[in-house]
Amino acid sequence: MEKVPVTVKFESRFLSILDKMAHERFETRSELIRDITRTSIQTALEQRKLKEISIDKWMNNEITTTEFKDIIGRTEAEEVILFRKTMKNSIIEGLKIGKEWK
Amino acid sequence: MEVIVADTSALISLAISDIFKYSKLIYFKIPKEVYRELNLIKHYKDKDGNNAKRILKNLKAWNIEVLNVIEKQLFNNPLIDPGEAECLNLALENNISKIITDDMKSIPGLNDLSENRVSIYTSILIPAILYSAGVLSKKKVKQIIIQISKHRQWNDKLFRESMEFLE
Repeated sequence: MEKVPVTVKFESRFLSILDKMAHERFETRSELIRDITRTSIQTALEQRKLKEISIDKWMNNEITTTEFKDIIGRTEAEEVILFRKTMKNSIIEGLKIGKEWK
Repeated sequence: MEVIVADTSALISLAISDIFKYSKLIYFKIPKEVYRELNLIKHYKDKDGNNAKRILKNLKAWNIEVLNVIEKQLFNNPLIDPGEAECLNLALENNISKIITDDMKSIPGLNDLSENRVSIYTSILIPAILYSAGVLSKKKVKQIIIQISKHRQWNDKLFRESMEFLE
């Protein structure tokens, strides 16, 4: 696949750590940044998929809220729980306001 | 008539779904920081950028008013960005009881800081109002909610569950 050049600015202190790491791995600075970025994207995609599956299972009552929190982490799970409530409240409140307009 | 504070994410969702032309009786108030964010996003060469541009062009026609936040108190909470913090300040200062945001991550922070004086909703509050008021059909409202949810990449089950309340 064709590689497209990207310019990224790093703090010099951070860059020297990066260069040291690259040296230890017998890689160039670019190869190291590419590897780290690729791994990080892959992990994020896997986590997103896991999150989606967990939300489905939790909403289908196939796993408990405690299990849900254990799988995707307490903070993320609480965000989802609150978001579910906010979505419901948005529809309910909207229906109430619209009724009052009539 | 309904007065609502809107953050950047919610405004963009509503512009994407092209709902403003139906919401003549809803008045949107936004703080300067949201206006600044829209001016930044308008340069993006994507859907968000295009819709930020449309919002800025139609502020008056879409009942969107930019207001100053008197107290520049940016809440010390890493979960809400400056735009959301100003939305909350604006709502509290002007006794506006509703904020809409489509940023899932900001909702816990906004709820915590709202002193129980402001309720936090997502942008789907607006199509729900318009459906209940008889302005939009159920089919149209469902299409709008699906459109917003797809754009926001919300979990399918989460928004479909909310739509059941329309039945």
